[in-house]
Amino acid sequence: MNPLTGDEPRRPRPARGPLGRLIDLFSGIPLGVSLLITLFVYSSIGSAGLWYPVNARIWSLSEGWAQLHVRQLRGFEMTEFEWFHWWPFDLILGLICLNVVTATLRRIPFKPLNYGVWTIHVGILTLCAGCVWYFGTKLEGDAPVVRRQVRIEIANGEVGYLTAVPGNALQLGSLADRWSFRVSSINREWPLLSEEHKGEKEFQVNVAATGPDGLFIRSLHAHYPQYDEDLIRSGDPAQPFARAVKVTGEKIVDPSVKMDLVYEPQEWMYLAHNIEKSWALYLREQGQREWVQRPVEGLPLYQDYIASPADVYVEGALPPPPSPLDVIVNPVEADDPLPGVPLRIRSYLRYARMRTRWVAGGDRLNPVASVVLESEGFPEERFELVAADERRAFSDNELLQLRWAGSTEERDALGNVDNVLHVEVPSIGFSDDLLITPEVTARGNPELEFTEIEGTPYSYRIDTLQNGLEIGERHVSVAFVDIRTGTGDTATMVQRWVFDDPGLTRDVDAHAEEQHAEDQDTPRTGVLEDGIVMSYRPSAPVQAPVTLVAGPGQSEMHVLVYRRDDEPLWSPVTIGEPVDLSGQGQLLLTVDALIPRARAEQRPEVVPLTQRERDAQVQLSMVQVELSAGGAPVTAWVPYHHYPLRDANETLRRFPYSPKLVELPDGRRVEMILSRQRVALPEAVALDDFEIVSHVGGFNDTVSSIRDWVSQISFTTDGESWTEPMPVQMNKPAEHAGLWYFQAQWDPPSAPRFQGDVPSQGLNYTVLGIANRNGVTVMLLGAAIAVLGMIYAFYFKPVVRRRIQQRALMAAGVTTAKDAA
Amino acid sequence: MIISRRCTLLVATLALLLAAAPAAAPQSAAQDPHAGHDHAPGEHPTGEGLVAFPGPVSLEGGRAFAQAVDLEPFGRIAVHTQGRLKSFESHASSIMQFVLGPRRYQDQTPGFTYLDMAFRPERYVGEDVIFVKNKALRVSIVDGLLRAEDDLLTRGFITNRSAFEARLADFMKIGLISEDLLLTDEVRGVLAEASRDLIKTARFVEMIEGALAWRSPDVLLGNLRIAAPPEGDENTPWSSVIEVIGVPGREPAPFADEGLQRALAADWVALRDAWRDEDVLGVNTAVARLGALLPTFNAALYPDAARLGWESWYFRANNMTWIWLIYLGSVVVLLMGIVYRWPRALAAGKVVFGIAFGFHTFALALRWYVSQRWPNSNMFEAVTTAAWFGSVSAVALEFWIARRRPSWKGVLSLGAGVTSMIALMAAHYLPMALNASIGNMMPVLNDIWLYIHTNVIIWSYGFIFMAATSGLLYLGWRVFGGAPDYVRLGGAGTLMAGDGGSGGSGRIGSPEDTASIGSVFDGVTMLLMEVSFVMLWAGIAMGAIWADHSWGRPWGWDPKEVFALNTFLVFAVLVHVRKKAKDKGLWTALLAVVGAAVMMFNWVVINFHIVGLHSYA
Repeated sequence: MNPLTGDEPRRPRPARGPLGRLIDLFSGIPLGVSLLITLFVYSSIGSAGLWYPVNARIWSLSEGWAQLHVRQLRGFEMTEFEWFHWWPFDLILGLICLNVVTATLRRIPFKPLNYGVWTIHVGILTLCAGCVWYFGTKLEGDAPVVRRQVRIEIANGEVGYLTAVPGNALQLGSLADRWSFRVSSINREWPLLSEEHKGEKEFQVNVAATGPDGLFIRSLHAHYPQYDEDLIRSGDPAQPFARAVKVTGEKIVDPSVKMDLVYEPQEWMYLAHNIEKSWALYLREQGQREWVQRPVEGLPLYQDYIASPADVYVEGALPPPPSPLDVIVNPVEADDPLPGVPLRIRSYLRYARMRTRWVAGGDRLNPVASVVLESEGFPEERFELVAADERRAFSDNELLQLRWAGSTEERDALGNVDNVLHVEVPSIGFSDDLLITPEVTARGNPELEFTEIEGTPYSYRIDTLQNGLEIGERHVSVAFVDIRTGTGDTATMVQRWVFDDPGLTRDVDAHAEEQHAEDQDTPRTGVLEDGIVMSYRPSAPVQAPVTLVAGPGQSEMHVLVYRRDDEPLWSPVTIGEPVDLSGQGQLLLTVDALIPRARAEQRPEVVPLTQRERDAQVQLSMVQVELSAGGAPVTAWVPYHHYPLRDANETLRRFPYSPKLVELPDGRRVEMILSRQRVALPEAVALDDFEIVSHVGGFNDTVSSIRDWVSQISFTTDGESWTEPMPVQMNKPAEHAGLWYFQAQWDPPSAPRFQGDVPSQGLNYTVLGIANRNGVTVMLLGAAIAVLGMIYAFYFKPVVRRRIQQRALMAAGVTTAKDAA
Repeated sequence: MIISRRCTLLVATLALLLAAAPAAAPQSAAQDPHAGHDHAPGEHPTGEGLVAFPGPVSLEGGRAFAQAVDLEPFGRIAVHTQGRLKSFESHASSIMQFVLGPRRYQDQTPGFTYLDMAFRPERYVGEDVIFVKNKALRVSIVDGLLRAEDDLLTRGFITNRSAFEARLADFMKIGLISEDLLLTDEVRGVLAEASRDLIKTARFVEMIEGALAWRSPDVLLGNLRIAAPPEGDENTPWSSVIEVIGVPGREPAPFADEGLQRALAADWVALRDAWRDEDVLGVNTAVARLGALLPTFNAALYPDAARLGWESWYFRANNMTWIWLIYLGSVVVLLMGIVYRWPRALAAGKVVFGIAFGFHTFALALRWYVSQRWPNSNMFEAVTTAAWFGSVSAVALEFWIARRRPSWKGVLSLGAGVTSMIALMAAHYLPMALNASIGNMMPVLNDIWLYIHTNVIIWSYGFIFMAATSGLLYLGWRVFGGAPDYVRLGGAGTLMAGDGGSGGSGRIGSPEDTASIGSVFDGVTMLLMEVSFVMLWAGIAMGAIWADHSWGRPWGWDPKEVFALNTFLVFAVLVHVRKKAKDKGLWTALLAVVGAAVMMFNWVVINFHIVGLHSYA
């Protein structure tokens, strides 16, 4: 041994066989370095992908470079966890461990100078062992836990549960005893005013109940049900509802309807895709409440796989080449609604929306036009107008309407903006058209005199007009005209209802009505004064300032612009050519396409990569499922649901609920959704309370004002007794029955999602991350041991070395290094 | 004679650098969108009668007014924003960054521009005050405008083609454009197209839309929450100016103390009117009155005036990122001292480094004081704090080295100087990427292990960058013919070995100074590599502890985790290669540089371009 360095002298190596050379290889640093470099490259590619320049602006990463996510490519389709658990990675790590063990045992003598490297290597091996344990048993997912649900029982004993989230609704009872319940609002911090609890804030839910006797609102309290009460209509527009106790003296207006806020136990956790793909299809027969799970293995995650390009729309791009999947999904649970029927997934779309397009080939007249409106100072707008659909016949801004004219007359009538009464007395050849304005009606002008028709006993006066009257399934217009025959005391008078449909025109005579009561033969209606003939041509019903009139020819189109105080402007329209509506180039209308006999065709539209919201992840994914049960195969696009909610009344605002109903050839109707695999929790969890700890100034509905979220959760095994609530906060998880519960997401305040919806103050539910953590202690112990080894190797070893040297020198009888030299 | 020339050079260099420092403190003239233009009063800043924009544009008068207005009392008023009570100047700096990006309008302070936009929005009509960050988008906008140039000329939108093109050239350079150009059909088409690309450009369009929205007086005043709740507690919202005094068409909101409400309304209206009239005395008086009035709304809730004042000063001082210039001075002088083995330059360099470090420490402490938390919760703080960790370590280690290995003196300071200089330069010149705004810590970061883990990691990053600096010096030494020297016992080992290493223990420039400069650089690289090796590993392990109780798993193969591990792997390779390689110094230097490159990739590419669990850091 060298007394100055402590190193052992090198000895010549004996000749080695293949095994010996292999062991030598694994005992050497070169292999170790090679493996570390391989690990580096593998990790880099898996994590950051490959970056390559796409243009000359290479100094700008965002503009000049593109990233290729290797692990997400077809053929790989791996999450980060999957990439780092693939066999090449395991092999590299295994070889490194083997290299470390062999090299340590064979090349590094266990002596004080080498304690550091031994410790480091032991630490690394311990860490690897912990990793094998940890990742081999890893379970990670999440679960939404709602604060409360409303238990509702009506008089006939029927019980229903309504998740306490604004907008959720439930119906109970039938026919005469039908009840509708809707969560109309939730106050997350309702101030209590009673003496005992004055100043406390309470989770308060208002449920609007509509029953046979009308509407009332029940105000429910999560922790103080003694304050539950009803609100009823007050008749005061300023405050439409009043406390029932103030009006009737009773807190509850209908005691037969019982409502309580109760926990909504969550029994499942849903596995996260970020560990490994955890797809599952959920099925149930229509009418059933509980889903049956079918785990899906082999379904991709990142790329689109399309069985047939004809099955999808691809915006602005050529149809993709076919890339069918063949993922068989077999039933695994006993109560599967389709036992023995495998499902076959043929397509997977990572990011798509169901889209309805109109195509030619319909069997009935259904005109649809694609229109572009360009106006100066505003972005271009595109509309798809459906003439036969009252709602979709108009553009969103209601500026534009599509109408179909079956004949030239019908079309021309649309340009008529005048109400005209035509009067004829055939006996003398009198004929006149009267333009009806408010001034020439008795309603508009009470002083209006009768107009006499010279040479006849007739005089008339227009009482009023009513255009667009809805009668049954048709719309009619009518002019009410008073007709006087004769003069003085002998004059008689009838009111003629002059319809735009002459067949409906009739005279109404009060005297005749009385006679009719006595004499059934006297006609009650009909044209009594047949000497004078009238017809009415109402103005066209103007519903939008600009009307696109298609027809009567298949490709014939005109645009009609109604102008104030002027005649309407007709312009012919040619497909693809802009029409200047303003006359000054400020408003251009272009009809891209007109389909007179359109039929709706629904397919998923693949959203282009550049238009995909990054945060959406797989929220808009769907699969095409094929199943054969009792006849020809049936295919259906099944949408992804983040959580397989059981019912619409469990909807959690952000997480939609729209299962796909599939009708099988044998008549069975099965609902399906695509979601994530679920695992039963050892004990059901409920959310007792959910609070926000805010920064200064309080919570103002924005994340930036939040310091922390606190979920108070309880557990139960029997659904009756609950554990004391325990808090779960950011960085402060709670452990229960071997699983750890983390604060993962929250329910933010949200505006109404659609017309008629109600807003939400949020905090109605929490989302808990749930995971196990086997082996973490071993992993951290390994890391700590390695740290100690490093410190020893870098900072204690020199001291040890120096002491060894000093001892050696003293033993050699020298006192300084200079002497030794 | 040589010494004398060296001294002259040294003094001249120092004088040059120190003289440059104050000039760099505010935004440099090159960043003024209108720098280089000589405009007559009332003339459009970008050319001769370029656009028939409405509004009184009295630039010279405006500048004089801006200079005469004294907003110093506003520096001590608090604005409630995003759950924090900021000083007005801090708030204005944050908001003006949304509008003007890193630029300033006519050298006005952000506070002045904020109020001016609120009181005299017409002054900014047609002015280039909207920042477009993305250069590719700027190119598209300019292309669109050039395509429409003839049409714009015909419509009278522009009157002078060459001036218009010069203006567009300015826009390409500094990124500022006017609202009316953004609203032309051509540009709107470009923006609509860009907004459809959610991967590359949509967020930049959103930034433009945000800038347009923020310019609105209603938005500016609606977010000026300066009225503390007279009877509230710390969870009670503060009220904005609009809520307290109302605006046309909007009644004031109920306020707990009508007397204070009336007083605030009176002073605010006085300020607004005087501002519109460019009545300097009136403005300064109203500002002073408001500065005195607002803290009385709720003295218990109101932040400490000194803290607000320092926060305002900190932002007026451009976050003190100009310290990079002093560091630059230290780097130049230290390099001269080390390369030429020149003790006086070395001493002078250390003095300058000490000055820079002093300022840096003051800046860090000040930010700590005003934010009331250790500054390591956003990229600006992480970068500047990591650099400070490097500098403070260099100062401490220099003392140790001075006794044990004098020939190594100055190299650590040089490494720390380069590290801090680059860090602060980045903060100074890339304010959008390294946003200096002070905000609250995100809830997930609010944990003791965050402090430990993050600080240990960024400290190790500081060391890694310093090691790369000494590694580069070593490579330079070799390029210029230096011998393949190295320290046989490593960094710490050589320092602890007394005379046993090959680093030479004599003072630099002294007869005992036998160490080659190559071995000095190698020794310092190893010293830094060793400590960063331990700290990086420990930091990663500590991060795992934090992640375990924050995310439910200690390791998630998140890109940032992976590249921290990759950085460690590079150093693990270094440690093992050094055992086997013949040219140990060369391999050490090369791998130290590679390690720093991987670390920078982690900090730049992973942080800004790859979304992961650590995206907030």
